[in-house]
Amino acid sequence: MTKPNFTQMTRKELKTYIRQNPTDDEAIRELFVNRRSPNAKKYPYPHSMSKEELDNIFRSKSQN
Amino acid sequence: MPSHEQAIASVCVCQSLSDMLQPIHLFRYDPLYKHIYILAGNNEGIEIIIFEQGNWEFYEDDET
Repeated sequence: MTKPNFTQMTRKELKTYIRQNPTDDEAIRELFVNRRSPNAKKYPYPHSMSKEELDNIFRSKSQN
Repeated sequence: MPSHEQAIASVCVCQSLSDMLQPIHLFRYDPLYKHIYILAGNNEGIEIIIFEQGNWEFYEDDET
């Protein structure tokens, strides 16, 4: 089976493919490494955060 | 294998996702880059990379 060209896929298509092929590291790296956003928010090791701080981060994301 | 910090951070992140009733679609350790990748969220719109030092990055995908 020939692999699809991951670089040509939209993010949505890539995610659909990854869900169906969760061991395909090449596809996963295309999404998570090659298309990594320079604006992605970075957080420290969660041991230095309170549970409340952590929950607040996820709460804001979950409202979308 | 993931580092100790990475393993602990993964538990914290997954627990918070679960607290917010967010499904986790992909959980993957990449032995080459030494990253953990998590694809989560009702619309697969939450992408998380957990680095070897236990710090992590949150990418919110508008396109989903």
